[in-house]
Amino acid sequence: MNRPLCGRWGRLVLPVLGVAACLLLLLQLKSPANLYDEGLVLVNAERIRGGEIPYRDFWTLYAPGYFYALAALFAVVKPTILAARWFDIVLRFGLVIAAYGLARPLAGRRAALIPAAFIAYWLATIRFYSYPAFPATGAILLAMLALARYLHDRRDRWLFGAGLALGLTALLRLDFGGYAAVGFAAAVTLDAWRVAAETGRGQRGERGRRGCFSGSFPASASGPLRQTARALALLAGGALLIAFPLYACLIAAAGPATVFDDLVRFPATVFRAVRYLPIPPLIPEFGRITGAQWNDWLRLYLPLAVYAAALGMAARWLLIRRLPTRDRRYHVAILCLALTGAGLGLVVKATSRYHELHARPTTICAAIVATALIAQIPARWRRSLPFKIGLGGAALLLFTGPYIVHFALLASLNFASPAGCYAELPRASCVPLGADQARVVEYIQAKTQPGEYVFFGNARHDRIFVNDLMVIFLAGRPSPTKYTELHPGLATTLSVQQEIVHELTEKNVQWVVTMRGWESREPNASAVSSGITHLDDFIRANYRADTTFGAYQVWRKR
Amino acid sequence: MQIRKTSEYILAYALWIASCAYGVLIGFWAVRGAGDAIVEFLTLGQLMGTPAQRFQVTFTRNAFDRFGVVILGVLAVLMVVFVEHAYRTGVDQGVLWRRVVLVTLIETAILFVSLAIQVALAGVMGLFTIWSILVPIGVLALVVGLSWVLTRLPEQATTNT
Repeated sequence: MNRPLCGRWGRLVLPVLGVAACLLLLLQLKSPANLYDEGLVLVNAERIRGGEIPYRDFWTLYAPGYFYALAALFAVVKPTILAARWFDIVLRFGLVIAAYGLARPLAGRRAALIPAAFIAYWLATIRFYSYPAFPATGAILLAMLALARYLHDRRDRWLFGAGLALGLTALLRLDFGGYAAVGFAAAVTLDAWRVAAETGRGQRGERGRRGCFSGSFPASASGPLRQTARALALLAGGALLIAFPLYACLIAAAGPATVFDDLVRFPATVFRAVRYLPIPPLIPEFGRITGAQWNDWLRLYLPLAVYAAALGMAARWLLIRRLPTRDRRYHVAILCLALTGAGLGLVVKATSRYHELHARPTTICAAIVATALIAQIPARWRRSLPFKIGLGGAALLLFTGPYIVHFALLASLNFASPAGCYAELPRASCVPLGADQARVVEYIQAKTQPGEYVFFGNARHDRIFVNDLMVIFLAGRPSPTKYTELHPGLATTLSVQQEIVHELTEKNVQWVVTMRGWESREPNASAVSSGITHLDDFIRANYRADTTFGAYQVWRKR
Repeated sequence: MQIRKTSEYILAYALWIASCAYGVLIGFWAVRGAGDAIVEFLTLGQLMGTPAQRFQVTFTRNAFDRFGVVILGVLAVLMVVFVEHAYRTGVDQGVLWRRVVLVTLIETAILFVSLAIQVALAGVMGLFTIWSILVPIGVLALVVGLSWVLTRLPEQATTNT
């Protein structure tokens, strides 16, 4: 179907692109530390390494898998920002390889390089290191690879393997695992039903040839049901084998209500209220649209168009033309159906806080589905010069703009060489920090003993956007409170502030650091004051201002 | 036969003038604009730097623009020579129209890439309208159309036997 890459060049192209992807991913290894998103993962991993248990000992709305993985890494190597980034880059590279491995049976060797290159490009420019959504997306692609193998040789172990990968996804991101499970369940159900029906027809035909009345074949009704139930059980069994033990332990430790509240209720309700960012309208205001809005529009609606086309193709081949289950196009349709199901779920996820970072997982899925769809275009058209020019030109116009700008800005503004050293703090491991951030960490480390509690908060807690979690990791001092991550809608409530105050009092915390700035102007509830100043009043009443480093104020107990 | 050949040469030189004018227009309008946009972006850091760096920005941008014009001028001369040769020999070999389409295709593709770069960089500065997308898409459609025409034209001259 696809012409193999020719000779020596064919053997070289993949390693060359692999090395290029590696270099691209490493290019921004020393980009400035992200105080919130990156910080919260590092702090939570450190808390786990210190023996604490998520949800019971510290609040988080994220699944525990990545925290545990990073805690395990920190048990082996020194806990530093750079170690976590290297780990993340290895996982991102794995995601690129998985994307290539998946696109290859869907679109061929050469075409598979295109989504892999785009994904490498996206992951290299997005930064946001230690963000668990990318490993979770990689785990979805692993599940897809296992499903592809299952469709190829029909061995149960591959279906079970797909389940294991889905379980891993759920450990890394519970919501991703849920969305992927829906897509996979739909695809596996349809496939098992079709295989059973085909087998039944074959058996009926066999009996008919032997002289039996084919309409009375008893297994015709129960066969597909049984086969489907068996396939789904294999998938679910694999997923549960991986995900259930850890979640069961956490539920046992923290209580089912707490785990449900942190992992399901809060993200589904409060998170949406305090973090929601509007999605671009379907028909943009062309008179007022900016470049950034245009890219936002593309990131949302182009994947949706790809998924709609994939569903149309799957419906045509699976339901209308009813291709035999051994047909290669049947396999492509089933795989596209599974990935589309997962991708549509990730679109829903992206709309809860519409931002490039949150849209990226679904665009990764859409890139692979789109490549598979393009590979189904008749070769006569696909290999023609106008088609190649049109597709290449459209890709250049639609997808490269933000990255041309990204690299141009990087070259002109703040490019930090991966080999350079930009910070002296041991845990920063040469990753650039804010000047005040480094100074406040040095001050706190000089004034306190290792193991001494220090509370890092904000200048005001009635209205919170983010807090500096990276500074907590850098300081290496334990947090006295369960609520290290001060999330709007949570730390702005009276009950949580009372709990924090109680913990500060109970643990006799001598030092408090507050950070001013990062006030939300977003069109959501994070920009609105809750009117609760209990924690602020407590700090001002019980601590005196010690010193200031830019936006950071250090307080000492009176 | 001789009259027909002469009229083909006249047509070839008329098309040569048109192709060169189109190429020069693209070079000095679109390619120069894209180059200037890239240099403006690459010197953004200097604009936010020390007073000395800010002072140098104008000179840097000017230097790139002036040297760019010289380089584009050299490329334009090469293009004029190359296109003349291509069209003249095209008449001899009976593939004039194929050469014309090929040259126009390359020029229009360069126009498209230049516009795409300008759109990407201008979008960041808020200089973005619907035309920022529609114009490059129109140019891309033209490139695709030309490439389709190119595939329809014979690679070798057909001879009447």
